[in-house]
Amino acid sequence: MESERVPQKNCQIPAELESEGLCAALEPTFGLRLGEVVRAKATFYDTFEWGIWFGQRLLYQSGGQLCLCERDHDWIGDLRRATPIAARRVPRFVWEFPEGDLRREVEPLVGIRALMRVARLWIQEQPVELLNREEKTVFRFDLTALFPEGGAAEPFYRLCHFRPLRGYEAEAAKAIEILRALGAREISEGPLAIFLREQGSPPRHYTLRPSFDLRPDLPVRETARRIIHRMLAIAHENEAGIKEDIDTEFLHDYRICMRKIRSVLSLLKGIYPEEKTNELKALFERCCDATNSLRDFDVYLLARDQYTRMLPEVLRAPLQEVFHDFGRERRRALRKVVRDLSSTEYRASIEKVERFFSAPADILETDVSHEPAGPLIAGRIYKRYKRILKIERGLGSDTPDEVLHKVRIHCKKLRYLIEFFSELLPEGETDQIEKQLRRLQTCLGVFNDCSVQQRSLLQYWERKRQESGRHEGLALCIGGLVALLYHDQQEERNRFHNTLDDFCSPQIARAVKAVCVDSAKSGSGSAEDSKAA
Amino acid sequence: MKIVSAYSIKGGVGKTALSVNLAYALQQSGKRTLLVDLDPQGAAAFFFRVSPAAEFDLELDELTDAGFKRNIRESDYPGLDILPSNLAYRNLDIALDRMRKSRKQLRWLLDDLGVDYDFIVLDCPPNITLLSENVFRASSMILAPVIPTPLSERTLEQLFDFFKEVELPTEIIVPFFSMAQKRSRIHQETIAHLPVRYPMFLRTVIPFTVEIEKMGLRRMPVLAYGPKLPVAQAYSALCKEIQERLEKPDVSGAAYTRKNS
Repeated sequence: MESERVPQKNCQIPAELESEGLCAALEPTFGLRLGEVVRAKATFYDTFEWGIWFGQRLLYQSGGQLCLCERDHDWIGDLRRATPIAARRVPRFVWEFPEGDLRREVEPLVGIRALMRVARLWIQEQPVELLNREEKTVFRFDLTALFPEGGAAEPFYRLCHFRPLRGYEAEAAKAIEILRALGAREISEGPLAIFLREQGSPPRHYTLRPSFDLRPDLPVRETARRIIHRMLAIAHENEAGIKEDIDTEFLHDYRICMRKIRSVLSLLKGIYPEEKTNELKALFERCCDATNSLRDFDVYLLARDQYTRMLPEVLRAPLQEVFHDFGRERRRALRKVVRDLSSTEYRASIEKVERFFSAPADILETDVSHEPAGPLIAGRIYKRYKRILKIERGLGSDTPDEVLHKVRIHCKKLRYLIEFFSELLPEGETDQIEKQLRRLQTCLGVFNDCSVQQRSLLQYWERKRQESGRHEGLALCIGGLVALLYHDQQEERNRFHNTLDDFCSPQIARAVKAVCVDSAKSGSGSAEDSKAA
Repeated sequence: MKIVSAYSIKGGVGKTALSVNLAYALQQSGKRTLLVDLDPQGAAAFFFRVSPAAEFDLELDELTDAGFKRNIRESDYPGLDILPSNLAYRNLDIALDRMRKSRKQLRWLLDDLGVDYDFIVLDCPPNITLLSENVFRASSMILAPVIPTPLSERTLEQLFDFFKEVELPTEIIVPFFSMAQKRSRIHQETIAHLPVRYPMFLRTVIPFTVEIEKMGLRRMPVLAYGPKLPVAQAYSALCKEIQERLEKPDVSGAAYTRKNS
């Protein structure tokens, strides 16, 4: 006997088919043992980015347990981990989870994003066992009916979950054949996908690096329009999360969008009349600046554990005071941001730019606005890289921080050029450059963060000193932190020199040149910029 | 994966009752378990309502796992599988005899089957044969039920002698009293003195009861249908003792891990 394979674990059955009808059809062939009907509420959780869903998992709370299971045909599949947690106590962040396997498995799927309730269903389940003549169980399945809410009389979905027994494959095939004849069929769209779609919140891929549908021969103004239009939409998507203060990443991503838009405008200088460019840049700059303070507090509070670990036990109590103050100041900063985002003035100006970028602009042409984007971008990448090379030659261990900051800005702009316009560049050839740039940027980012944090800790100390009371503990704690941050900053500086050496190596220089020459050729026309390549 | 065998030279001493209840107890404690019914009578599988396996060809150069795997049946208790007996097993000795390294064939086979399990429980046929020697060489522990009578003492002695003769480690033999009658003076005396000579005896004594025969009517382990019955409690205690011994070295210091010989 060759063992037959049971096709899949779940199958959909007609919503009107109740267990009586099902049993009547199975009874002539099998003995039946029906288990108790159990009805339970299940609440599903995921992040704004649907990290759990796209990680092929589902996270749900039901019957006093928080369960992580496989996503099998958009429904609950094999259980992976469970931990006792009451419905009202499901933590928002993974670091609030109890230590254990569940937390370890959820961590990489959600990162620092908050878990949100995405669906709530009622699940009615009844186990059925099919027996042979010796009353041995030969096949099991669970009959599941899903209700959109507790009181609903009719389920919106019925399914069968098969639990075949090893060595009884023939019996399983027979049972499934009978179920098929009753209308059971393979799941094409799973129950949770249907529910989420009908609820108006289907899982969708979220990325800060979407495709903009660019072509090298597209005029550069149109290229910028497509990028900005898309980034504006992403920024808009994040606004609700900022206002509801769900997690820190809404603001983080919002700021990235705004910064990117501003960068596109300055990287493609000259595509609009100067006045228009300045007006737009100022608006996006305001959007960033208005959220600076809130973001700074977010960064501090996210690093709370890290800071605590940096200090010895005796200095940890005053540090908690620092965080307490930061928490309070953050709330104040948040209220201001929410006020700004909800203001009619903000709404009006954003709607205005959204309109402006939603269709080709009906304003004066400039010298470059109708150049093909490919060669222009290639030229600008090459120029930017050469500028970095030039600065690098003059760097030494005594170079002031401001110069390093300048390198950072150049690198950031170069990275943006390559990242935004990657669709215009030869595929695969930018990988090596991007990798090196990322390393360099991480290094410079840490360097800059260390410097900003030292400054703001010292400013905080200045403020505290003005207040009455004794602050010895606080002084020690801040002194300790500033010293550590300074140390980290110096370390990062050394690392930076090595990383920059790599980035300015002949190998990378050749790669940059190749990319630029290739893209310059692929576009039509010969923009002045492309001569540089 | 550990292999535990229920074995006795004599028949009718409570071997199958032990295998069935031990396999069930292991499943209940979350261990993935395979119960292999090597006794052509097929009683162990019967208790789990599993029909005898389809005949398959043993006339091979060596035992391969394919034929056996095909016959594995999942019991009604998830995590406990049964490899039912096969009438062909009566020829297992002859088949083994023809093979190279005929004393280790079963161990190799079980190593292949065992990848899916934490425990394999073997319910062995009585008598000392080439198959039993295979069982001894494969097992981490040989559980030997002993009815507390002078005759059984002699049988136990024979088992130890055989182990010494073929240079097998006697430490893996773990005897326990089975079908003991409270009112029998001989039984009670044997229970008192035999462990003095054989200190490896398990402390738990399985009483004689008609309940074990009822297992045949219910067709399930007594631990499953009447966990509160005295005999079930005794099996439960016995299985706990067995698991404890398997997990740590016994009094004499021998760990129940197979030597790589």
